[in-house]
Amino acid sequence: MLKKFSILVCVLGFAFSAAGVDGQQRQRVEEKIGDGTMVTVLAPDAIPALNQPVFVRRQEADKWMADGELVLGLLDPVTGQAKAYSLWHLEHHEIVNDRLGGHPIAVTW
Amino acid sequence: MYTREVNGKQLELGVSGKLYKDALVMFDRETGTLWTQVDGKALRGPLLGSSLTEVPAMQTTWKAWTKLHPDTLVLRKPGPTRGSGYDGYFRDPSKRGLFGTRGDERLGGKDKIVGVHDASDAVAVPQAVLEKKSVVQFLLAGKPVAVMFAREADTPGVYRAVLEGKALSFHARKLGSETRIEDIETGSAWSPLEGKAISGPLAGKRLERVPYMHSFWYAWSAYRPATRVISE
Repeated sequence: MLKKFSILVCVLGFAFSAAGVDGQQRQRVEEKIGDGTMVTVLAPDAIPALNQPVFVRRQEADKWMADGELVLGLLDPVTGQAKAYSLWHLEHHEIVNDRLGGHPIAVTW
Repeated sequence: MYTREVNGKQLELGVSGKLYKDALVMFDRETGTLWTQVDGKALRGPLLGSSLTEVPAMQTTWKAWTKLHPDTLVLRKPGPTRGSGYDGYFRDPSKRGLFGTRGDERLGGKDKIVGVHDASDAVAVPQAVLEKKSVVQFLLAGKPVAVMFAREADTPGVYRAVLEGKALSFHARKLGSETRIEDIETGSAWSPLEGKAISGPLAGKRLERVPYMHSFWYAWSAYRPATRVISE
């Protein structure tokens, strides 16, 4: 009787831990939204967005920007100022919170 | 690229660590709403039903951008790269894809391509194919486009393969050590850098230029997953 009971407890214990009830995340959490699936891979801000970006002039940047380096380029509709964001930044931060033409923008890729 | 403003309220966006349909999901700190990066729509949260407005941007090389805008500003680069445990996990452009998912593997992520697109169609010509063939021709949304290679300048030239209403078919002809680009219809020779006929019956005529991108495959295919690829 006791032996059967302990086997049962072991089996249940295994089942619960596999399902993650013991608090450990064993698998990615998936959620269906609309016609797609959302998965959680990282905690929020594990990849930090870039806030308060600082810009330099083209002449200075020419020292460390490569000719073939990919950039996202924007034109400020109010001032006509051209601004570029190296994809290198977007690979590291995914999002740059910036401003353009007096409006807040998010540069993403 | 989006405005981060909804109903006059400014939002600060962050990386949620989630993917929706394999693409980045953002969140705003003000309300916790989740937003898809691909189309700027709210996925979940208090601002569900709202959309972020897209801002047009150009993706190109530093060289091309500074030629267009010599007085451009550019985001300053920091000193040594931030050390995150996820640097290696995510950042391998040769296998480009967000968060470790695989990118479009029809080509190597760092293969250079000449990309041409319009609203409904996108075609990528691998640089290796272009260098080998000197001229590649295809239909983009039903219209003939010729991509020529100016070997001495290591530069592609992309043109409408139509002159005065008539379609032209281009091919490369080897003459000794030189490669000439000619049209089959008249045998005129064309300058790939200028898109101008330099000899033959059409000498002096110019083809209309078509905008293109000269970039890495991983960048092009991330934006245009339905792109066709010209093979050998």
